[in-house]
Amino acid sequence: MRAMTLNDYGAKDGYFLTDLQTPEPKQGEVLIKVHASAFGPADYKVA
Amino acid sequence: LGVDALIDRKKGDVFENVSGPFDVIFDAAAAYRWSQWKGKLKRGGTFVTTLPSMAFAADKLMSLASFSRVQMVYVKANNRDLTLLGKWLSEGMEIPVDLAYPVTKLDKALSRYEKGEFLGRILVDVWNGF
Repeated sequence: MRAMTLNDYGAKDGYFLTDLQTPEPKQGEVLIKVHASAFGPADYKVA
Repeated sequence: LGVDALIDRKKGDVFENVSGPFDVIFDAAAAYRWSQWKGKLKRGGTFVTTLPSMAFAADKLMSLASFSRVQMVYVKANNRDLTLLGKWLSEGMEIPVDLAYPVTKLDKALSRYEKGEFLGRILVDVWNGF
């Protein structure tokens, strides 16, 4: 799956377009297809 | 939700310009704390914040010895919260959107957030964004 990844705290190098292995849902889990997301305080704190 | 009165937080002292007292003060932007607003709450009134913080923990303690309360609302990705949100959305609740960015422009979304002054959520389009 395609992903935008942050390789370090601080976002000083920006985000990278990456190909990651699609996760396999375990027992009792589901795989969610993300259509859209919001950029909020938690995302800001990580970046 | 609609509004009865609008107060410009940039014009004068926001605490002076708000009369009250209120049953509930909901700080959706987590910009203030209970200790700043407790004077505007009715006896038994509640200040609701949206961010867990040290200030919240301190206010929570302080409020035990006062006539008003402080609470936090934080949506969890569990069955109960998502079912409730889904119900509100199906009943027509609208979420204001400031701007939408394709996911490859996450840095732009970050800058927009840093700048502040956004009206509504900053949206990241993942599905059509690559």
